[in-house]
Amino acid sequence: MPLLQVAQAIEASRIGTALRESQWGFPALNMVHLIGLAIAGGTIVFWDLRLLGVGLRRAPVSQVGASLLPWTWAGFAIMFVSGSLLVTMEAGRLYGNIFFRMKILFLILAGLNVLVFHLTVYRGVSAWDQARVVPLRARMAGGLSLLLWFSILSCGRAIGYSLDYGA
Amino acid sequence: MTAFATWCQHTAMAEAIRSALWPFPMIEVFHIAGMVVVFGTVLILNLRVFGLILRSEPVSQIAQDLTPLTLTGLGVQLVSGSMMFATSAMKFTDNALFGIKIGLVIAAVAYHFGIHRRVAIAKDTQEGRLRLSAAVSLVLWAGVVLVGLGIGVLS
Repeated sequence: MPLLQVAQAIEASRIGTALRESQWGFPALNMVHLIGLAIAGGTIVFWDLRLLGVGLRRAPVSQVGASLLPWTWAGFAIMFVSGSLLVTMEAGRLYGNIFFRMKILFLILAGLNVLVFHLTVYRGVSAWDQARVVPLRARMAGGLSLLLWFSILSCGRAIGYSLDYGA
Repeated sequence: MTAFATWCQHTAMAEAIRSALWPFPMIEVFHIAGMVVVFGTVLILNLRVFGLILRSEPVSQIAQDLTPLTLTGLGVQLVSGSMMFATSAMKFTDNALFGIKIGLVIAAVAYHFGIHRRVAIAKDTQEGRLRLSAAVSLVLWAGVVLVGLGIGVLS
Protein backbone atom coordinates (compact mmCIF):
# COMPACT_ATOMS: atom_id res chain seq x y z
CA MET A 1 0.00 0.00 0.00
CA PRO A 2 1.47 3.41 -0.93
CA LEU A 3 2.55 5.61 1.97
CA LEU A 4 -0.16 8.23 1.35
CA GLN A 5 -2.86 5.59 1.73
CA VAL A 6 -1.20 4.32 4.91
CA ALA A 7 -1.27 7.89 6.25
CA GLN A 8 -4.94 8.27 5.30
CA ALA A 9 -5.76 4.94 6.94
CA ILE A 10 -4.03 6.10 10.15
CA GLU A 11 -6.01 9.35 10.08
CA ALA A 12 -9.26 7.41 9.60
CA SER A 13 -8.38 4.91 12.35
CA ARG A 14 -10.34 4.75 15.57
CA ILE A 15 -7.61 6.43 17.61
CA GLY A 16 -7.05 9.26 15.10
CA THR A 17 -10.78 9.91 14.86
CA ALA A 18 -11.32 9.79 18.63
CA LEU A 19 -8.49 12.29 19.23
CA ARG A 20 -9.80 14.63 16.52
CA GLU A 21 -13.30 14.54 17.93
CA SER A 22 -12.23 15.18 21.51
CA GLN A 23 -12.04 18.84 22.45
CA TRP A 24 -8.96 18.39 24.61
CA GLY A 25 -7.04 15.87 22.53
CA PHE A 26 -5.01 18.38 20.53
CA PRO A 27 -4.14 20.97 23.21
CA ALA A 28 -3.35 18.25 25.79
CA LEU A 29 -1.08 16.30 23.42
CA ASN A 30 0.58 19.51 22.24
CA MET A 31 1.29 20.47 25.83
CA VAL A 32 2.71 17.04 26.70
CA HIS A 33 4.85 17.19 23.54
CA LEU A 34 6.34 20.53 24.68
CA ILE A 35 6.89 19.26 28.25
CA GLY A 36 8.90 16.44 26.67
CA LEU A 37 10.81 19.08 24.72
CA ALA A 38 11.67 21.01 27.90
CA ILE A 39 13.22 17.83 29.37
CA ALA A 40 14.85 16.33 26.26
CA GLY A 41 15.88 19.71 24.81
CA GLY A 42 17.06 21.00 28.18
CA THR A 43 19.48 18.09 28.50
CA ILE A 44 20.55 17.79 24.82
CA VAL A 45 21.45 21.49 24.68
CA PHE A 46 23.75 21.25 27.71
CA TRP A 47 25.45 18.14 26.38
CA ASP A 48 26.05 19.90 23.04
CA LEU A 49 27.25 23.03 24.82
CA ARG A 50 29.69 20.95 26.90
CA LEU A 51 31.23 19.73 23.64
CA LEU A 52 31.50 23.38 22.59
CA GLY A 53 33.23 24.25 25.90
CA VAL A 54 30.28 26.28 27.23
CA GLY A 55 28.23 25.74 30.41
CA LEU A 56 29.25 22.56 32.28
CA ARG A 57 32.79 22.98 30.94
CA ARG A 58 34.57 21.91 34.13
CA ALA A 59 32.77 18.54 34.33
CA PRO A 60 34.27 15.54 32.50
CA VAL A 61 32.70 15.09 29.05
CA SER A 62 31.85 11.41 29.61
CA GLN A 63 30.09 12.17 32.91
CA VAL A 64 27.97 14.96 31.43
CA GLY A 65 26.99 12.58 28.63
CA ALA A 66 26.29 9.55 30.81
CA SER A 67 24.36 11.38 33.53
CA LEU A 68 22.17 13.47 31.21
CA LEU A 69 21.39 10.64 28.78
CA PRO A 70 18.61 8.90 30.80
CA TRP A 71 16.80 12.26 31.10
CA THR A 72 17.21 12.90 27.39
CA TRP A 73 15.68 9.49 26.65
CA ALA A 74 12.83 10.07 29.10
CA GLY A 75 12.00 13.42 27.47
CA PHE A 76 12.41 11.93 24.01
CA ALA A 77 10.05 9.04 24.86
CA ILE A 78 7.39 11.57 25.97
CA MET A 79 7.89 13.48 22.71
CA PHE A 80 7.79 10.32 20.60
CA VAL A 81 4.54 9.00 22.09
CA SER A 82 2.74 12.37 22.11
CA GLY A 83 4.15 13.22 18.66
CA SER A 84 2.98 9.91 17.19
CA LEU A 85 -0.51 10.47 18.60
CA LEU A 86 -0.53 14.00 17.15
CA VAL A 87 0.40 12.50 13.77
CA THR A 88 -2.55 10.05 13.90
CA MET A 89 -4.90 13.05 14.14
CA GLU A 90 -3.99 14.40 10.71
CA ALA A 91 -1.64 11.89 9.09
CA GLY A 92 -3.21 12.31 5.65
CA ARG A 93 -2.62 16.07 5.61
CA LEU A 94 0.82 15.77 7.19
CA TYR A 95 2.00 13.33 4.52
CA GLY A 96 2.41 16.05 1.91
CA ASN A 97 3.34 18.86 4.31
CA ILE A 98 6.80 20.20 3.52
CA PHE A 99 7.58 21.14 7.15
CA PHE A 100 6.57 17.71 8.41
CA ARG A 101 8.84 16.08 5.82
CA MET A 102 11.70 18.41 6.76
CA LYS A 103 11.15 17.70 10.45
CA ILE A 104 11.39 13.94 9.88
CA LEU A 105 14.51 14.47 7.74
CA PHE A 106 16.18 16.60 10.44
CA LEU A 107 15.26 14.02 13.12
CA ILE A 108 16.95 11.29 11.07
CA LEU A 109 20.00 13.51 10.56
CA ALA A 110 20.14 14.25 14.31
CA GLY A 111 20.08 10.51 15.00
CA LEU A 112 22.82 9.87 12.43
CA ASN A 113 24.92 12.66 13.96
CA VAL A 114 24.73 10.95 17.37
CA LEU A 115 25.52 7.56 15.81
CA VAL A 116 28.56 8.80 13.86
CA PHE A 117 29.82 10.72 16.91
CA HIS A 118 29.64 7.65 19.15
CA LEU A 119 31.20 5.33 16.57
CA THR A 120 34.11 7.65 15.79
CA VAL A 121 35.55 10.52 17.82
CA TYR A 122 33.76 9.65 21.11
CA ARG A 123 35.62 6.32 21.25
CA GLY A 124 38.75 8.23 22.20
CA VAL A 125 37.00 10.37 24.84
CA SER A 126 39.37 9.22 27.61
CA ALA A 127 42.10 11.32 25.98
CA TRP A 128 40.05 14.55 26.18
CA ASP A 129 37.55 13.82 28.97
CA GLN A 130 38.75 16.70 31.15
CA ALA A 131 39.58 19.11 28.32
CA ARG A 132 37.64 22.34 27.99
CA VAL A 133 38.43 22.44 24.29
CA VAL A 134 37.60 19.05 22.82
CA PRO A 135 38.65 17.76 19.34
CA LEU A 136 37.24 19.64 16.37
CA ARG A 137 35.07 16.71 15.25
CA ALA A 138 33.42 16.51 18.67
CA ARG A 139 32.78 20.28 18.63
CA MET A 140 31.31 19.95 15.14
CA ALA A 141 28.97 17.18 16.34
CA GLY A 142 27.80 19.43 19.20
CA GLY A 143 27.26 22.43 16.93
CA LEU A 144 25.47 20.33 14.32
CA SER A 145 23.20 18.85 16.97
CA LEU A 146 22.20 22.33 18.22
CA LEU A 147 21.50 23.45 14.65
CA LEU A 148 19.46 20.33 13.85
CA TRP A 149 17.35 20.56 17.01
CA PHE A 150 16.65 24.25 16.39
CA SER A 151 15.53 23.26 12.87
CA ILE A 152 13.35 20.45 14.26
CA LEU A 153 11.70 22.93 16.66
CA SER A 154 11.19 25.48 13.85
CA CYS A 155 9.64 22.87 11.54
CA GLY A 156 7.40 21.62 14.35
CA ARG A 157 6.06 25.13 14.94
CA ALA A 158 5.70 25.70 11.20
CA ILE A 159 3.62 22.51 10.76
CA GLY A 160 0.88 23.92 12.97
CA TYR A 161 0.86 27.27 11.19
CA SER A 162 0.93 25.80 7.70
CA LEU A 163 -1.95 23.41 8.44
CA ASP A 164 -4.05 26.12 10.14
CA TYR A 165 -3.48 28.84 7.56
CA GLY A 166 -2.77 26.77 4.47
CA ALA A 167 0.53 28.57 3.82
CA MET B 1 -3.14 49.20 31.39
CA THR B 2 -5.60 49.34 28.50
CA ALA B 3 -3.94 52.51 27.21
CA PHE B 4 -0.53 50.83 27.41
CA ALA B 5 -1.81 47.69 25.64
CA THR B 6 -3.40 49.80 22.91
CA TRP B 7 -0.17 51.74 22.45
CA CYS B 8 1.83 48.47 22.25
CA GLN B 9 -0.43 47.08 19.57
CA HIS B 10 -0.07 50.17 17.41
CA THR B 11 3.72 50.39 17.49
CA ALA B 12 5.40 49.95 14.10
CA MET B 13 6.97 46.70 15.34
CA ALA B 14 3.64 45.16 16.36
CA GLU B 15 2.08 46.16 13.06
CA ALA B 16 5.01 44.71 11.14
CA ILE B 17 4.73 41.38 13.00
CA ARG B 18 1.00 41.21 12.33
CA SER B 19 1.35 42.12 8.65
CA ALA B 20 2.63 38.67 7.66
CA LEU B 21 2.01 35.07 8.69
CA TRP B 22 5.57 34.01 9.54
CA PRO B 23 7.09 36.62 11.90
CA PHE B 24 4.98 35.53 14.90
CA PRO B 25 5.77 31.79 14.78
CA MET B 26 9.46 32.63 14.21
CA ILE B 27 9.46 34.70 17.40
CA GLU B 28 7.61 31.85 19.14
CA VAL B 29 10.39 29.45 18.14
CA PHE B 30 12.96 31.70 19.84
CA HIS B 31 10.73 31.95 22.92
CA ILE B 32 10.46 28.13 23.12
CA ALA B 33 14.23 27.74 22.55
CA GLY B 34 14.83 30.25 25.37
CA MET B 35 12.48 28.21 27.59
CA VAL B 36 14.48 25.07 26.81
CA VAL B 37 17.73 26.80 27.85
CA VAL B 38 16.41 28.46 31.02
CA PHE B 39 14.45 25.40 32.17
CA GLY B 40 17.43 23.20 31.24
CA THR B 41 19.77 25.12 33.55
CA VAL B 42 17.27 24.92 36.41
CA LEU B 43 16.59 21.21 35.78
CA ILE B 44 20.29 20.32 35.66
CA LEU B 45 21.18 22.34 38.77
CA ASN B 46 18.32 20.79 40.74
CA LEU B 47 18.92 17.23 39.53
CA ARG B 48 22.49 17.70 40.80
CA VAL B 49 21.23 19.02 44.15
CA PHE B 50 19.12 15.84 44.50
CA GLY B 51 22.21 13.76 43.67
CA LEU B 52 20.71 12.36 40.47
CA ILE B 53 23.41 13.57 38.05
CA LEU B 54 27.09 14.61 38.06
CA ARG B 55 27.64 13.57 41.67
CA SER B 56 31.41 14.04 41.40
CA GLU B 57 31.03 17.75 40.57
CA PRO B 58 30.32 20.27 43.37
CA VAL B 59 26.85 21.90 43.34
CA SER B 60 28.49 25.34 43.63
CA GLN B 61 30.51 24.74 40.46
CA ILE B 62 27.41 23.67 38.49
CA ALA B 63 25.47 26.70 39.78
CA GLN B 64 28.26 29.05 38.75
CA ASP B 65 28.89 27.49 35.34
CA LEU B 66 25.20 27.55 34.40
CA THR B 67 24.51 31.15 35.47
CA PRO B 68 25.59 32.84 32.19
CA LEU B 69 23.32 30.46 30.27
CA THR B 70 20.34 31.10 32.55
CA LEU B 71 20.86 34.83 31.95
CA THR B 72 21.29 34.38 28.18
CA GLY B 73 18.10 32.30 28.00
CA LEU B 74 16.20 34.85 30.09
CA GLY B 75 17.41 37.63 27.77
CA VAL B 76 16.06 35.75 24.74
CA GLN B 77 12.79 35.14 26.63
CA LEU B 78 12.40 38.79 27.58
CA VAL B 79 12.97 40.10 24.04
CA SER B 80 10.88 37.46 22.25
CA GLY B 81 8.19 37.53 24.94
CA SER B 82 7.86 41.34 24.76
CA MET B 83 7.54 41.15 20.98
CA MET B 84 4.81 38.51 21.24
CA PHE B 85 3.01 40.55 23.90
CA ALA B 86 3.10 43.74 21.82
CA THR B 87 1.68 41.95 18.77
CA SER B 88 -1.68 41.40 20.45
CA ALA B 89 -1.30 43.17 23.78
CA MET B 90 -5.01 43.61 24.45
CA LYS B 91 -5.66 39.89 24.04
CA PHE B 92 -2.92 39.13 26.59
CA THR B 93 -4.01 41.71 29.18
CA ASP B 94 -7.49 40.12 29.06
CA ASN B 95 -6.05 36.61 29.53
CA ALA B 96 -6.01 35.51 33.19
CA LEU B 97 -3.30 32.93 32.44
CA PHE B 98 -1.02 35.69 31.17
CA GLY B 99 -1.25 37.58 34.48
CA ILE B 100 -0.49 34.35 36.39
CA LYS B 101 2.47 33.68 34.09
CA ILE B 102 4.01 37.13 34.64
CA GLY B 103 3.57 36.74 38.42
CA LEU B 104 5.22 33.30 38.33
CA VAL B 105 8.10 34.52 36.15
CA ILE B 106 8.86 37.39 38.54
CA ALA B 107 8.68 35.03 41.53
CA ALA B 108 10.83 32.35 39.86
CA VAL B 109 13.53 34.77 38.66
CA ALA B 110 13.63 36.59 42.03
CA TYR B 111 13.80 33.28 43.89
CA HIS B 112 16.51 31.92 41.58
CA PHE B 113 18.90 34.86 41.83
CA GLY B 114 17.86 36.08 45.28
CA ILE B 115 17.89 32.77 47.15
CA HIS B 116 18.43 29.52 45.27
CA ARG B 117 21.61 30.40 43.39
CA ARG B 118 23.17 31.89 46.55
CA VAL B 119 22.24 28.86 48.64
CA ALA B 120 23.70 26.58 45.93
CA ILE B 121 26.97 28.52 45.66
CA ALA B 122 27.53 29.01 49.44
CA LYS B 123 29.94 26.44 50.87
CA ASP B 124 28.20 26.10 54.24
CA THR B 125 24.61 25.37 53.14
CA GLN B 126 23.06 22.37 54.89
CA GLU B 127 21.97 19.56 52.59
CA GLY B 128 18.35 19.69 53.78
CA ARG B 129 18.06 23.40 53.17
CA LEU B 130 19.61 23.06 49.71
CA ARG B 131 17.14 20.34 48.75
CA LEU B 132 14.19 22.34 50.03
CA SER B 133 15.37 25.29 47.96
CA ALA B 134 15.71 23.05 44.89
CA ALA B 135 12.16 21.76 45.39
CA VAL B 136 10.78 25.32 45.61
CA SER B 137 12.78 26.25 42.50
CA LEU B 138 11.44 23.29 40.51
CA VAL B 139 7.84 24.02 41.51
CA LEU B 140 8.14 27.70 40.51
CA TRP B 141 9.80 26.99 37.14
CA ALA B 142 7.49 24.08 36.34
CA GLY B 143 4.64 26.53 36.98
CA VAL B 144 6.17 29.07 34.58
CA VAL B 145 6.64 26.42 31.88
CA LEU B 146 3.17 24.87 32.27
CA VAL B 147 1.28 28.17 32.34
CA GLY B 148 3.42 29.52 29.48
CA LEU B 149 2.75 26.44 27.34
CA GLY B 150 -0.91 26.66 28.32
CA ILE B 151 -1.13 30.22 26.94
CA GLY B 152 0.47 29.12 23.68
CA VAL B 153 -1.54 25.92 23.26
CA LEU B 154 -4.92 27.39 24.16
CA SER B 155 -4.70 30.66 22.19
